[in-house]
Amino acid sequence: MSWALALSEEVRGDKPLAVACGRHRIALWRSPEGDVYAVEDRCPHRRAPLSLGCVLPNGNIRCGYHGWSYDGDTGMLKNIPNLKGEQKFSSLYKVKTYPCREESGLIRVALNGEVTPGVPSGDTLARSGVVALALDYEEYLNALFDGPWLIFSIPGVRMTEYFHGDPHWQDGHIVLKRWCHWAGRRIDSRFTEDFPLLLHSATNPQTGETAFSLRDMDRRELIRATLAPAPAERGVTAIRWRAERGSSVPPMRKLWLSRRSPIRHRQWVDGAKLRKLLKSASTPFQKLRQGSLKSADIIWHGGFDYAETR
Amino acid sequence: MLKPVDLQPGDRSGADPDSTDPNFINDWQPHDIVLRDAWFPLAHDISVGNRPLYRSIYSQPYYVWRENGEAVASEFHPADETGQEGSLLTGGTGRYPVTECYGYVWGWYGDPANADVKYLPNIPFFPPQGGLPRYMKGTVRFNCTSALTLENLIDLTHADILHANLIGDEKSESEEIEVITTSETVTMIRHCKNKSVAPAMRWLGGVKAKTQDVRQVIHIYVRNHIALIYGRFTPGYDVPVLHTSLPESRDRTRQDVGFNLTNARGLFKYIFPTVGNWVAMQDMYMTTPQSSRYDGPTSRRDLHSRFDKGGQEYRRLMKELAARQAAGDFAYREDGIPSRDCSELLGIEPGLYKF
Repeated sequence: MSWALALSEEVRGDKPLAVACGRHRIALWRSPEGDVYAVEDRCPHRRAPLSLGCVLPNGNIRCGYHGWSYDGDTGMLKNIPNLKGEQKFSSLYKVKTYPCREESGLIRVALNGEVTPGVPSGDTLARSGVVALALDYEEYLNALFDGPWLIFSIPGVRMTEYFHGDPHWQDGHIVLKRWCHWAGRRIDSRFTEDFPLLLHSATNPQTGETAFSLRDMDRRELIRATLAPAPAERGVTAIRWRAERGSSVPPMRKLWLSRRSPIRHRQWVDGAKLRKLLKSASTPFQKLRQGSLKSADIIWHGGFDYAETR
Repeated sequence: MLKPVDLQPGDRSGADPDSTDPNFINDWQPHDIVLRDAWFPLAHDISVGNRPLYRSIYSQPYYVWRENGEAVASEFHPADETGQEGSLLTGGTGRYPVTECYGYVWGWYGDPANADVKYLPNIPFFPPQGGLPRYMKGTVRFNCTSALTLENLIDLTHADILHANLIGDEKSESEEIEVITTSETVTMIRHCKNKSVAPAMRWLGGVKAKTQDVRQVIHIYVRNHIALIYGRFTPGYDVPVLHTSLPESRDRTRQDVGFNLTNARGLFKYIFPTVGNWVAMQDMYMTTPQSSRYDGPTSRRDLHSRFDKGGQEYRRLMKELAARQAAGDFAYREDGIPSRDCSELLGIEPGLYKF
């Protein structure tokens, strides 16, 4: 399983980026050729974070403490500056590497095994953002299913509590459809005969990465978005998101939607509203997900370590 | 090879039903019960046009529209139908059995080979050909599992408390409950002597008396998730309501309600359907938080009073039907054919509704 831990534009060729997933600390950087590498953010020499170092012109990462540098492909130690010409190292001298891949504007890192594709999104969506939310990762996922409006908003659109059918499997993802109204129309969704908009979501059961697609009743795609959450330190959830307006926004709505970002991820969650959010779609979602996680041989440590396998 | 849609309904909670167990009705997880081979009202007939409407029954998609004036329902959006292979619920054709009656478009959920209009619920106070005015129809969406909306309804003592300001309080000289069941229906008949007049009837319907005798009937077609509500108010008039509860998903219910108030007087006729929305909001106030509390097993028993007999019978019948269906028995028994006339049971005076 692989996690989308960074946006493409966050990973640079001069300075490593520190990211986290559960208890894993990872340094990401880009080589001059544009390839992305991921290694444990811990120099095997004196445990200094490699992300505090730099990227050398040859594409290796260099520790900012004593200057040891490592190859991104193999993790092998390549250079200790003070050794001058005696640069020959045992195979034990290496940093842990993680397979990673750049896909649809996101950097996917496999904490174990191979990099797997994320939710289907295709192109790189133009708008993006990074949010660190003081909300536990599991509660974040539950809120995405029970009350996504507490997590993000779509300007010009009002999400409702009424979802269409239960969460279900589709192409390896857990799919939910939620009815929406255009904002600004004071229509009570509890007495709406037919809604004008349907928000499709497809969630990777293992990482929680979710692709959204907002469509009208003529099935025109108005908004596409991907939210990629990952459990970070101290109960924080780090979210990378990308979004883009569809090409077929009806003219009457174009002006409204075009002036704004397609989605707005909230920087904080309203605790008073979250506390009162009733469990609904998250119950079947978690049942489906638990079955999937068991089948993937995931070991749970207090609900925090999502990446260890037997 | 048809798509593997779940055609093995029953109680998905995995509980082993034993109706002789005293705890039978307390082991109640309505979210997990799926009953098939039944007609469900998908939409008001006047809402169905050439543009497809999107509904679901137990999460199974139903696109509804008209072709040459005839209502059709498909698993697929009409633009995607070509070349698609349907599920067992449509016999692989993609098209569900559909019929129009009582002002609704009905879709069949189950084996299409078993679809027959004789299993259509009888609604004696609605014209079979439809035609009631638009203001007597409405839609309400409950964030709640369908069965709970019906269990809530069949215990009318909730109305005296939750809806007291609209329907009247609990004050009456006497109150008796009678419950009648068949293999497919549960009927609760409530007789109240000198009950406080419903404020809605007093202020909108011109009933000046302070008390009235009330005979209220809740008649539930269990498989179809439909309840007929028939109230006879003396002095006053009859108020018939069709309360549909389409189980779109485990925890969301769509109600395309209908009223036949052609015999009512004054503003009541026009405003009561709107009052119905207020009543629904009051119900939602309780059923929304209630629903998740039934979504999962518990060892704690619900408590009951003598007024809960209707609800108890509803639970029992639903579980028994689920057990029958899990064992492969989907047939309707003779005493429970839904199209059988229920006018007398509802207490409708002969000739009151002429269609």
